[in-house]
Amino acid sequence: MRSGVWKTIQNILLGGVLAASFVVFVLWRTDNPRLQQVRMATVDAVAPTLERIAGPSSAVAEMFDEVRSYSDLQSENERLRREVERLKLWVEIARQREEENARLRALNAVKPAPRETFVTAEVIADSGGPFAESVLVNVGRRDGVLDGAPARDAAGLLGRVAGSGERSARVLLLTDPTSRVPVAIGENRVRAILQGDNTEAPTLQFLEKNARIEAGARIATSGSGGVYPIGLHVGRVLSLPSDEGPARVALAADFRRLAFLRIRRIDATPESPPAGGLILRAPGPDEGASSGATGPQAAVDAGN
Amino acid sequence: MALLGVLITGLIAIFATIAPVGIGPSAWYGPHLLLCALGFWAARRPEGAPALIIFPLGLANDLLRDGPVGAETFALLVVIEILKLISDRSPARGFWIEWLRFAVLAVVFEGILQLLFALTLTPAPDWTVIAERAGATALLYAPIALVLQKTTRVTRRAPSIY
Repeated sequence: MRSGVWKTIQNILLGGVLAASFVVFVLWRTDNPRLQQVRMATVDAVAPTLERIAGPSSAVAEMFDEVRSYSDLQSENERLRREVERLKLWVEIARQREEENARLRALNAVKPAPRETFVTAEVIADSGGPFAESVLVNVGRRDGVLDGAPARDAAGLLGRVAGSGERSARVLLLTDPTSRVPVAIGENRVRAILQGDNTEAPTLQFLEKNARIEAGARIATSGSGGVYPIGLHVGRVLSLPSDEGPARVALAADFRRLAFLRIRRIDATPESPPAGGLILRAPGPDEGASSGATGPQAAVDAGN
Repeated sequence: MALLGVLITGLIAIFATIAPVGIGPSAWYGPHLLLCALGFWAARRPEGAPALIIFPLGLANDLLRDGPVGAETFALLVVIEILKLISDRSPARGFWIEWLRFAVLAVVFEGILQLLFALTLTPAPDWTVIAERAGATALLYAPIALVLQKTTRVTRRAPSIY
């Protein structure tokens, strides 16, 4: 008798949790903002644990990576030496351009665009499944990271913040099938939409029919839509559109070694500098290793 | 004791799934570790894997990953319940039978997900990715079950409350 009652209670409970799961799924499907808040609150709650786990798991991944790349060590060293020499030259050029720009802006009383600073974040978890290409990072609203903020590594754009909690945020990668980025290609600034498709080389959609682009052309964000700022380096054209499929892009960012990334935040618009002065970076809330200017100024910082 | 085992192994499975080991499109999605862990307990200690424990574990798994929240929890509840019923009515006589049952249910799990996606017009991942995950989940059950057996000393199904 008691067993029968217990079984009935269990069946009712099972029906209840099944119904609850389905309701939650429908809420997710309808993009309910409260569910997103619950998701980020959950991530915030376990973020400290995830940070502790991220260290050892990254170390394991790096160990495998190092073993694999050990054989290429000598050629990699040689390549890096050449790269350093090339970059030294660019630092000098950037320094000269920055000085020249500062003088010209001051002479023309240009009001500079809002200053961009970046906060460096550590990847503490990945999406862990076939449904999305995203990562969780250990910075959030308290660090000035808001929804929609672009994320990049040293080489190029990685994605954007698709959900931010107090101390964690989720970054949707460019390779995710739901990712769409308005881009401009080459010197002609041919417009297209970069669309992820779960591969290493996302596609270029909505290209003009007679658009003149060539393989290897540089691709940067066009700024259309207002989510991404103009001019963020994305990659290069890998293949042109053909009967086999749309044009594809070789992304500049290194997704395979994604341990740290930089997320953009916007500070107040600075005043126009005096003639001859450099436009220097305003100190951020956590000045130091976690923030830095972009563009040539960053190169100057790196060179100093 | 079984409840505690389910909770601990479930949490370990969730954190192991989202650990940033392989990131990006070239990374392998891997098996559904939570399904493997809960499958082990459902096959051997059906009373230790009640829906009220599976629901929060499944939901936490869905919330921490960037997938469809609730869908995998639903599929997980159905599959684990089926496994508990089968294990209770005709206990597996050997590990091979237990493994085979789990492998079939790993495919059923993905089938339920696809059905939910079709009903709600949700874009689903490529079928090759789904097949890969189902295969990996089925294959990895054996080593996971052996490790859990060694650590928890749960060797065979105990009498249940059904």
